[in-house]
Amino acid sequence: MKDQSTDSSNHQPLLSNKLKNWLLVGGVVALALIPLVIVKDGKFGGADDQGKETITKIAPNYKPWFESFMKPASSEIAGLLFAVQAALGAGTLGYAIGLYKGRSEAQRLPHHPVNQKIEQE
Amino acid sequence: MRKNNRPRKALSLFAMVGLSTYLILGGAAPAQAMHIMEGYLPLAWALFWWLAFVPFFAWGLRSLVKITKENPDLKLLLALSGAFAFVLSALKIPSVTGSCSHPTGTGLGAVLFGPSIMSVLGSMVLVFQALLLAHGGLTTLGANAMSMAVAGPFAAYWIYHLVLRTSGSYGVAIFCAAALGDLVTYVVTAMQLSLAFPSPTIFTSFVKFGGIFAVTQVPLAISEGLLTVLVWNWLRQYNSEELNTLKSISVRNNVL
Repeated sequence: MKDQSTDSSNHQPLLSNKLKNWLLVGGVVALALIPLVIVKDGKFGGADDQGKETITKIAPNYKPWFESFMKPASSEIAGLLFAVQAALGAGTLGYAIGLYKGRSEAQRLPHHPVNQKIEQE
Repeated sequence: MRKNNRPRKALSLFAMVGLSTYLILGGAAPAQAMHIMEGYLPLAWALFWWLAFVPFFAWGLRSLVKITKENPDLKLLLALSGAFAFVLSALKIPSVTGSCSHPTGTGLGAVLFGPSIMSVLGSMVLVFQALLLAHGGLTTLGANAMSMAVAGPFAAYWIYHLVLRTSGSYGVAIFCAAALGDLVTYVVTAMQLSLAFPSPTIFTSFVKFGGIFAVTQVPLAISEGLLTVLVWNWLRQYNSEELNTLKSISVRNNVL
């Protein structure tokens, strides 16, 4: 509700923006969930190994000539590393968007605490 | 109010298209690799793609240095573009084919800063995954970077400007750019694999490699498009100032 008042100067009402954003999130969630429901016999393995299999099928004599230096010790460790990757990215993303949001609010509201602090100095 | 309805209508249309795609193609079929695995490109091809990628990387570094020198304030937005690719390529999302793949997240940065900087940001993601996760590889880094950090972003950039010019809607343009850029990445991957493994011809291999993964990737491309529009909405709402700075930069350094 607080956001709504800050955005009134904008020509687009925030509620519809907000609704739009929720629709976008909902769409992504639905796209991820629907396969789990409609594909009954899916293994949902990584596409990596299947890609390898396709190459082995097409070129049975091909031998990979290089190995990764480091492989995650188990699928748990791989999961951890993927989670770290996502967390680093999402943290940065949230920080930036949050900073932008706070800054734009401070500019729109003359009595925002940020501005009062500047006035006092 | 009326102006607002158009993107939303387009959105629901896309959602319907996505759903129909699911229902029609919802059979189980094998999936294709997201990136080419370590050692799975013959030496000559691995070298070829490395050599092809290096100039793009140099170009990207140059743009990166130039942008941060002229507008130090934009560094956070740059970090955001990189972070977006980082998150999205870590998200393995189930698809209708009964396997998982991930989006690329390179469309946003390409549209904001121009495609060349994504050659640097995108390859950072690839290096992280190749070194720590054994996902992709160092020998195949050149090929993977050409598809994910060069071809996808450039396609996204051109599609964005093309769609923006014809439709006039930022939302639709961003969606198409991100979704099609994602697909182009995988089409190029299929092309690279079929060039290296023609059986018996490059074309039949391409049909084999491309036809299979295309189905897996379509819903993921739609997800990528939706997520990119989401971040774009936030940026437009809270940071229209820097978006305008970017617009004037891209007008000056037009890539086309």
